[in-house]
Amino acid sequence: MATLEQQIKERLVESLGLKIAPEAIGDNTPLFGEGLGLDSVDLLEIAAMLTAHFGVEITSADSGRYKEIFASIHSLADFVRERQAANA
Amino acid sequence: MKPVACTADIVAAGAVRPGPTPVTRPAPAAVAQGDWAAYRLETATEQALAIPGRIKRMGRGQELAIGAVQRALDGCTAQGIEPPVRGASTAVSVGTAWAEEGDEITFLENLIKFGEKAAKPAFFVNSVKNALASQLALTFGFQGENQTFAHDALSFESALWQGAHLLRAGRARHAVVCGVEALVAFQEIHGHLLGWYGTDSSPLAPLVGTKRAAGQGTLPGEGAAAFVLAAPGTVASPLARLSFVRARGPLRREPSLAAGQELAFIDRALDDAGTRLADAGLVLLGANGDPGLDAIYAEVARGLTARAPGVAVGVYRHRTGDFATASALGFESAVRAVAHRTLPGEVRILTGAAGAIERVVLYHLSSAGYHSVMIVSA
Amino acid sequence: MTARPRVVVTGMGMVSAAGWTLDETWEAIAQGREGLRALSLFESQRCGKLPVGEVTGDPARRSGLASGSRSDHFAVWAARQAYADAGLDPGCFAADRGAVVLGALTGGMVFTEEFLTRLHLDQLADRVDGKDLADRACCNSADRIAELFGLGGFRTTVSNACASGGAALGLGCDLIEAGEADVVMAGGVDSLNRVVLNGFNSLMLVSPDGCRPFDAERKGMSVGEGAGVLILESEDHARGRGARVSAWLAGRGNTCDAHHVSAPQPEGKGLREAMRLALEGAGLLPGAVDYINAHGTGTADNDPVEARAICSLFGDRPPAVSSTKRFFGHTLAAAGAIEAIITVLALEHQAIPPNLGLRTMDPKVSLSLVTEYRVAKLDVAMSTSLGFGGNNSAVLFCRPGTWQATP
Repeated sequence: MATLEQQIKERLVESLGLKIAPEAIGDNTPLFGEGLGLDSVDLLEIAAMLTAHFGVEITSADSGRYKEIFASIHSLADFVRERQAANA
Repeated sequence: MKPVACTADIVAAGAVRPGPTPVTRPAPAAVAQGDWAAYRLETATEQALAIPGRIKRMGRGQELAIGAVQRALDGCTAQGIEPPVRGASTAVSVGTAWAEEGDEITFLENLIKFGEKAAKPAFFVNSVKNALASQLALTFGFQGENQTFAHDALSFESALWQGAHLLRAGRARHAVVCGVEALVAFQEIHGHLLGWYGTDSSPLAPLVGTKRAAGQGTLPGEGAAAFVLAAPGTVASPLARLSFVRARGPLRREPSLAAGQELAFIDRALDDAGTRLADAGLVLLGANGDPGLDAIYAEVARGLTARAPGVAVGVYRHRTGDFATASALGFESAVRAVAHRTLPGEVRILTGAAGAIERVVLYHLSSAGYHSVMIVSA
Repeated sequence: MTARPRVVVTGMGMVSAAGWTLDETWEAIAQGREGLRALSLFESQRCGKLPVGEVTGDPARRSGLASGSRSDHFAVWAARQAYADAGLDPGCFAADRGAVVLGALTGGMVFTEEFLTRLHLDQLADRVDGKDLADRACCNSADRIAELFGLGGFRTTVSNACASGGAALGLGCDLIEAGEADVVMAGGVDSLNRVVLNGFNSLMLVSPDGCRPFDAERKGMSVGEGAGVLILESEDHARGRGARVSAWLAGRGNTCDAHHVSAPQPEGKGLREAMRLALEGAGLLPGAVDYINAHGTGTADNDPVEARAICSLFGDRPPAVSSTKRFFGHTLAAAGAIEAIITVLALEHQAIPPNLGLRTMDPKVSLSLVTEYRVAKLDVAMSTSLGFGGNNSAVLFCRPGTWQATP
């Protein structure tokens, strides 16, 4: 059973159409800037992916934490776990 | 006031062409049974379009446009000519009827299937029709005027006119002009449902060869061609010269097309261009193998050869398929014909013999009634 | 500089959430009447409560077209108004000397939406019909206008995102200066649909309480719809037929940031250059400009960039500025044309339209914003537009009889 991190990597690659194998993304690889080189539009694309496939919604209320939430696969997974627990 | 002659030097050209024969794929089950044919990019071409080292996806149209422009820039290098520079002195003009429609459809289908909360923003951004032109600006650093024309079979011709004009007006040193169309499944659906395309998957044979049955229409295609233009007389030995471009639309919806009025259009264009048909080594037709349209083209061709018995008449869409901006690929063939004074392999001659080609007159007519004349000279 | 024919505006027509005629629109502006309302054109779970610039009334009944998209109806209505406003008739120009250049983005997108919805949700293949897709191309509107008014000359559709309208006006000038056309119907059109509304909303660019251009608490743009058409001619041609000249289109500039697909270059260099080119074309110094109708969408990115561009060019003699987007929203490809019309109306009425929606100006923005309808002596005014892909457009108008290029 794939970990949440693995699932997120797969969905990330799929939704953004990245030309990279999901396994090639490290759990802590920076998603923006020097790491994968994603930008602000990709951030919103990832947010839409989390809503569609993991049932969590990111709203403008979270905008103060964007840098933190979207920093890496690991931080995305933590956010999803946190939200899913709150929703339960 | 008589129009200023529309001219420019063609410094370099590049093209990305589909495979030379149609390829079939299963039709979308919800719409039709069986297979649909189209002139598609070969796998090797698709792979060659991928930008080395780039992880983020790019739309198919964007890849096509970048590929064609890169080949044109490589052409500058090969000719020992300084390529257009990054910055405001290089303008970009793109003609594309549908731009990155595949991404727009993905956005919409996602909305429908997963709801509004899951809307895909990156695909919306790519849906705006100037996504190709702005990606060219980003990729190559061209910061001059950036225009996208999306008017069916007038798209490439608009870009060509505008690019040439702004050069003569001194608003840029180079204009990169591109005609591009990426084939997406929705385009095939649109064309099949509207009766443009048929299920005969044999290669198109405009005007000659195995004729398609009435009602079989034509076949779609995809591709891109790009040209580096400079103001007339600024380049010592350009590849070729754009001597004239005129593209017009009908004054009625679903107009009745007639060879007589088409010949009048061509005669007037040649007259305004100051070109005699007899001086053209080749007339290149945009005929697409659709039986109805072929009939008009055939009569026009007869009229032209009556006016200038020695002129060679050829076609090119048997190798490209039919799409709004395929005229860009025809134009690229014409540029190479004039540059090398010899007939390119993808042009099929119907009548006459093409000797050393110094001038090509391109004539296009679409079923919707858009028509154009372009002239390329040595 | 080589002598070029002077381009003049001889007629205008528009439709937006502010009204169906120029008079209705200016009346709304003079009254400070906002045009944003909750969406009613279609159902939307997520966007249903967003204020939009939706046109009220039935476009199909107004246009006189037997069929077509909402965009087609808007475009034809605006074109009819402009043609009448210019006092044109078929004798005024030869068919092949009449041109149409229209900015458009979505065209008949709604037909694609409906078709795909039926295909995916209903799976009723036997009910899909090609005719449902016939009017979806964005070039349809320009074709309908050409057919209606016998415009057999140059014809095209410019699609430069939100800067399309301005680019269309620029190309109209090109055609006249090149002697390619005697009369050009130039403008832009767009209409509301699921794709654009959800598209901008998914980018978190849409305000839940209506756009507030340059406001400290602004939360984004409001999507709008409509059409604007201007009749452009050379001064000689206009005078030759005794036409009334509304304004001189004295200069224009189009540039591309080449910075990012959707965000503008932060210092506004591209827009600054577009404005500079417009001034250069008119032979005017920055100090000559009395009013700028800004793009001013109310998004976090656009407003400060535009302010920076204006300040860097106009320095210590800034002109009055307002964004009129709270009157009709961001009309996308129509914006450049609709707002050019507003700019010309300002010159005609000698009054500055207010920047509605402002409560506190963003401290990072330092502009002379006009927040109430202000009577003023206006001789030179500029309209600016910025679009996705880094396109920038500036169009400069002068009141007839006042244009004197600096030597």
